[in-house]
Amino acid sequence: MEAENTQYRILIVDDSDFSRNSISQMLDNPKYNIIGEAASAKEAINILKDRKAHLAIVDVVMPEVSGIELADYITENFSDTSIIMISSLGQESIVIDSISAGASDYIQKPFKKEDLITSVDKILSSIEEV
Amino acid sequence: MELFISPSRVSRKQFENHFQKACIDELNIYNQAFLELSTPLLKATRIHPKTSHERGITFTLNGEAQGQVICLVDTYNKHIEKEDYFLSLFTESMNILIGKMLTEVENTSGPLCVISNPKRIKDSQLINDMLEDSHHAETYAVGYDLIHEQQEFPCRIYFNISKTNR
Repeated sequence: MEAENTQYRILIVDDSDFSRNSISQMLDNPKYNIIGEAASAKEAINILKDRKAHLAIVDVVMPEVSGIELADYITENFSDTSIIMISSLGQESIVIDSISAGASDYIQKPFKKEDLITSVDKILSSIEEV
Repeated sequence: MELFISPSRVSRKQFENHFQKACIDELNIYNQAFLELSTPLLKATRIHPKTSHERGITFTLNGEAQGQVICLVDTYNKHIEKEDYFLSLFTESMNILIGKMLTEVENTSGPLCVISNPKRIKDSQLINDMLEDSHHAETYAVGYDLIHEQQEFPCRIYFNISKTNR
């Protein structure tokens, strides 16, 4: 059962500072705690090793290691962390690959704040806090 | 010249049609900027070198069409308070625009293409070499205005198709 004062921990992963900043602004709400912003998969993994996240918002296209590969890794190693994939690309094959890698949702950029919040809340509402 | 192999063979004319139809008239970038189509997508015949006032980024194009996408924004006579923020906004705007265009192309049975993460090109000569290469490949140009903080920044975008994936 979701406690009224639960603060959900969210990690934002995107190689664009502008994108990370925009998402962070959209999630500016007492119920969300942005535990970190990562510009790469490597940075994201380092943050997750240090701090637990309920949710990771992950960009698909990133240098070196893609967001889909990162989602695979998170699903395997941080199974308590849900994933929302984001991308400017919306081809069906990419969406399917993202869901196969463990993403709970996929949102194409640019997205409205309401759409992001709806997706975030829907995923977080299924999390039980002990 | 047939450029692409997709489930149904796509001719150059069809490719042009797909991309022309995929051009978005207006795009809202998180209420922080807007992109407005200024020049429709056409086969590029004259490509001007990068000016000192232009900033450039490139994407690698992969999939059923391969090559590069070169994006330039003109900052001549414009006031930019935070250069890094503006460049990040421009980069992400182009990423979003091109991603949406490629998605729409595939949705209308055009070639399946994806883009890499963007790379900022500071070296003018490098950009001009890429633009020069465009003369030897199939290149399409489209123009947009990036509107931010009540200023219009003209953007030119080149789809430089060098190879098809068979």
